[in-house]
Parts: sequence; C-alpha cells; structure tokens
Amino acid sequence: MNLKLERIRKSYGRKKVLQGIDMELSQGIYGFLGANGVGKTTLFKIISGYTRDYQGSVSYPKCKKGEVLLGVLPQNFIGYPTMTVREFLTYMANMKTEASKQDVRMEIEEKMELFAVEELHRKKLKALSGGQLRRVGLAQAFLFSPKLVLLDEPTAGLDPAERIRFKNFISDAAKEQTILLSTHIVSDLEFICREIFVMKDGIVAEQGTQEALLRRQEGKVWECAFENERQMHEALAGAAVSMTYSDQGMVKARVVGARPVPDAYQIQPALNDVYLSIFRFQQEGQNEV
Amino acid sequence: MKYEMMKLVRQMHVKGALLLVLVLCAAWGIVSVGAYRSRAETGGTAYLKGKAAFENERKKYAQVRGDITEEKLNEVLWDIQSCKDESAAYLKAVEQYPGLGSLLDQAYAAQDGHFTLFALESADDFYARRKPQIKLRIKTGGLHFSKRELQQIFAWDEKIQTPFQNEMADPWRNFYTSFQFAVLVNLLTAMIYGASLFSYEKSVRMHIIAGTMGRRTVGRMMAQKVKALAVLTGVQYLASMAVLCGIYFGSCAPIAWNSQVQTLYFTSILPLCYRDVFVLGLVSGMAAVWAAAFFAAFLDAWLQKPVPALAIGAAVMFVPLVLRNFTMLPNSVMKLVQVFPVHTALLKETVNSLYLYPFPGNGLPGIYVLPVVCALLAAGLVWIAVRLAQTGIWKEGDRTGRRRREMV
Repeated sequence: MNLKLERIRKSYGRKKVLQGIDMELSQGIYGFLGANGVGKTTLFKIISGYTRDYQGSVSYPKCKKGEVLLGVLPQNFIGYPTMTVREFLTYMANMKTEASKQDVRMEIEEKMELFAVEELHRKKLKALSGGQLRRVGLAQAFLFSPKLVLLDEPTAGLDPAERIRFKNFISDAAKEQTILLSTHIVSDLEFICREIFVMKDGIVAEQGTQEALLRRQEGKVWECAFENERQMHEALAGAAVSMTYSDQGMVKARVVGARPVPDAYQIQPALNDVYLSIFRFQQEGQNEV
Repeated sequence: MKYEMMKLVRQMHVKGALLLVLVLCAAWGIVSVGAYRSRAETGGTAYLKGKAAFENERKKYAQVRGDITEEKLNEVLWDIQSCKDESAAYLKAVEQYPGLGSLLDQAYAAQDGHFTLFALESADDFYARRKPQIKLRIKTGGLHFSKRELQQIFAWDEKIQTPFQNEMADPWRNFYTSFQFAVLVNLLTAMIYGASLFSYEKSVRMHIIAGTMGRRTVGRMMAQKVKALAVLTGVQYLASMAVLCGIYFGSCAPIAWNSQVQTLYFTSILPLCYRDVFVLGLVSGMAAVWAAAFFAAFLDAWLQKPVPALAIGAAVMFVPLVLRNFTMLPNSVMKLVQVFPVHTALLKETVNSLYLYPFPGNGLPGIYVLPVVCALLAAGLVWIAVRLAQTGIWKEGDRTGRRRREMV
C-alpha cells in the first residue's frame, strides 16, 4: 500500500496553510519545493503524525511486524547535544524498535558507515559541525530502513559541497522506501527525485517528473545579452529574470516567460526556471534559487 | 532509563547544582561542627570549639548520664539551691548537670519564663509536670484544641517511656539546623531538575521526532524520565545527607541515639528517641524531595515551559515557610501548613508540634503523617505529570485535538 493523502486541509486560526492536498506516493524520492511558509513543514508534520488536528486523511504503507514505518529529519535538527553520536543513534534505535542489542549494534554500524559518521561516534552532538549534524540526523532517520522517510529542509544552512554530499547520501540510502524531501533550494532535488511537487499558497501548484516539468517550460526560457547592466535593467523591466552573469564583456540574462527582447534566443529550461515561473521572484531573491 | 538519565545529568546546570549541593552540605557540616562551643572550665571564660568542645561536653555528661529519676533530680536541685545566688546556680546547673538543669527548668518554668529552681521544694512530680506544661504551651502559644483533641494529645503523651535517659543530646539541636539546610537545598535543586524534565525535548527540538513515535513510545519515554528524576534526586539527597552526617557524627558520635526527645523538647508528645526521629526525618526528607521534584515536573508537563514551572513551583512549595509565621491563622490552616513537603526540613518544629491528624484512635502526629503525605503527593503528581507530558509533546502553537491516531 502507498502513502495516500486525501483532501488535507489545515489552518492556524484564520490562516489557511494547506487548502486541499491530494497525492498518492509509492517507492522513490519525492521532492517538495516551495518558498518559506507555503506549508511544506505543516504537510510533513501532518504526514509524520505530529500534527493531528487537520482535515482530510492520511493512509500509510502497511508494516509487517518488526518493520519501522517512519523516519523523520525535522527542520533545524540538533539532536540531544550531550549525547555522543553512538549513544544518540542507540537511543533512537531503541525508541523505534524492540530489536535485540546485537541487531541495534549492527544497524548503527551500517548507518554510521553509510552516512560517514563512524569516525565521529565518540563525539558529542554539540561538538559537530552543521554538516556532520545533518548526517547524524539522516542516520537516525534511516535507522532500520523505515517505509517512509521525511526530510524537512535537510540542507538549510549547508555549504554547496555539503549539499552535494548530502544529495548523494540520500540517493544511496533510498532503497525500497518512500522518501519525501522538502526544500526551497531547487538544486537539492535535481536528478534524484521521482516526482517533484511545487507548493504555493497551500496547494500543489505544479507536479510531475523533472523531465515533465522542464518540458512544460520549453520555449519559455530565453537568454539575452546587453552591453551593460543599465541597458539590461531598462530592457527587462518587469520580466522574470532567473540569472544574470558576465560573459566576454557582455551582461547576459536568463529570462522566463515571453520573449523579452527581439534578439533573445531560446535555451534549455532548468528546474530553477520552473520554480521562477511559479513564484515570479523579485531580483533580490534570485541568488538563493 | 540510562539514556533519560544521560539527558538529565549531562546538562550543565544539573551537574553544577549537584556539585553545589554536595559542597554546601559539606561546608555547612564543617561550619556547624566548628561552631559548637563548650566552656573549658567551670566559671572560666575560655571556650573550646568544634571537636574539642564535643569531647569536653562528653566528659561533663559522663558524670550525670543514665536514668533521670526523681531522686536524682532532687539531689541536683538541692545542690543547685546550695549556691549563694541565682547566677551561680544557673552556672552550676549548666556546667555540672548538663541536660538535667535545663530539663528542670523546662519542667518548672512559669508562664513568664522566670528561673524558678530556687523556689522549688522538690522535683518529685517531674514526670507529672509534662501535662501542665503542655497546657501552658497551648495557652501561651494561642493554640486552640477541642476537648477531644486535648484528650488525644494527652493519650499520646502517656505513651512516652519514662524514666528519660540523660545522654549528650545537645548536638541534635545543631544537627536539626544542618538537616534543615540540607533538605531545603535538596528541595530547591530537585525542583530545578524537575522543571525542565518534560520540556527538554522541545528545548532541543526533538519533540517532533519523539511525537512521531506514537503515544505508547512517548509514554514509555516519559515514565523513564520520571525514574531518572527519582534516581537523580534520591542519590543526591542520600549523598548530601551522607556527607553531612559523616562530618557531623564523625565529630561528635556517639550521641544520645536512644534518649527520648523529651530530654531536649520536654513538651513534645512523640514517644520517640533521637534515632527514631533521625530515621523518620531522613525518610520524610526523601519523600519531600520527590514530591518537590515531581511537583515542578508536573508544572513543566502542563506549561511546557521550565522557567514559569520553576517560579510557580518554588512559590507554592516554599509558601508554608512564610505562612507558619502568621500565628493569627486558624489552627486548621497551621495544621495543613505543617504537612506541606517543605515542612520536612523543619524537624525541630515537627518534633515539638502538638497537632494531630485524623487517624483511627488518637490521631497521628505530623512526624508520621509527613512522609505519607509527601509520598502520596509524589505518586499522584507522577501519575498526572506523565499523562500531561504524553500529550504535551504535541502541544505547539495550537492545542492538538482529540482525534489522534497511532502511527506505528
């Protein structure tokens, strides 16, 4: 049985955070993309069972005896700062299952190796760097290979090298599991997701495989060159510019939407462009994307 | 429990408080022993201090220790009365007849507290003096008892074993003050530990992961937390008492373990010796520390905020220390105040208390009621706190509803 969400609605007071989410997810990695505050974390809290006062229903994959249903890596994970990595993972394993000591030990060794934290096993969590801490967080989320793994903004605050490493870990760890990955950083999802859901204003504004999403943007992404920035700003006023850069003395811009200037030429769309076409970011918000 | 204990003990403030309690108890014990004074020679002005003072007092007691019979008291009385003036008589009573002079004084002191031994003809009615002295205390203390209560008080009084044993009981007074200090610091630190027990998951943002594990697992976690708190506060209490008693009794032992408490507190209605009071005090203290810890933990489970939990908890827990000074309060309130956990610290008052609590027969004095009340309170608070904490982990901006489903 798959993870099935039906008509999920959630409000905080008068603010409607989720306005009817329907989806059915089988095995694989699923990306949830959206700006801060669009409801990704709320949706994850609902799926995880943490938030329980919502409308709609969530059906979970069936678990056999001894199998673990859920692994969660919440936003801003810090763990128990005074525990060592090994103590923390042992504690989490004991909380999740009633497996024997031997099984717990083997599982921890396996996950520490998978997420490259075995050398840190004696270090306290409070002594770890941001990247190391996230890897420990991943290790606990993947303990006993849960059927469903929720990773909420797992790369927030990490440098680019750590983000790439992180993506690789998730790809390696994903076996016969359903992994939900929420982020507002587009590059986190590239090439690893079976399907991507772009959320906006509490609904899924766009969904599909990476290829399908890109295909929908074909013919809508342009590149144009200008002699200087002033000329570019004048020509592209009001256009959705996803990126600007300098090349051979010219200022080049990547624009999503209708042909911005007559000499603009079509280029291959990227996920950033999909995101931009939905959110229409202002110039200052583009760097992060 | 191992991991819950780890979470608790490895917090900096817990380690600091634990160490501080042990150091303070050791320091208090040393200071208390050092402060004990004894006149080096009769009539002299030089005083011995600390261990030497205990030794000196022990030698003085060696002359007069044993059963306190009325014949013995008469001899003491006549010897005292042979002095030329009252001050010389007082000095003789204190120096040559330690314990006995003070007892005669307590037995025959008039309402105005005037030194009456000079006018006293004999001490033949020494043991019969307890009844009128208790009545006098009730009258001067502004206490109000019904006829039945008075009957019960005197029924307890009749259980007291006579003759009293005169032993060196005086150090117990100092010890009760040290005991009070040790219990109070243990109560306070127990509340500090308890006040962050259940909200710890939120402070390290682990509540979301814990919350996904289902109510049963969270319940198990909370129960383990309770065990860890009980063990931590219990070990701290016993360790601090061991330190204090080690220093104190190491300096003055053996003291009057088997003497009746009436040798110091003549109007006490407890048929107990100092050893019994010591054991009951230790047990009550332990139960009170647990009650205080779980009270703070209960508030933390309810509010999910450590600072307000500690502030409210400490205010409620320590309010009887203030209330007991308001003598105009009705007896029923004062009676209630004396079975609050914090009152465990005030062992002197408990030993001297005339209040009896409802129990078939002649009621029960506070010293027996206190540990039971504290233990019941602790157990009740644990029961409520675990249930509150079980749901509190899901308490965020919104209060979660009733529709809850188990995840695993």
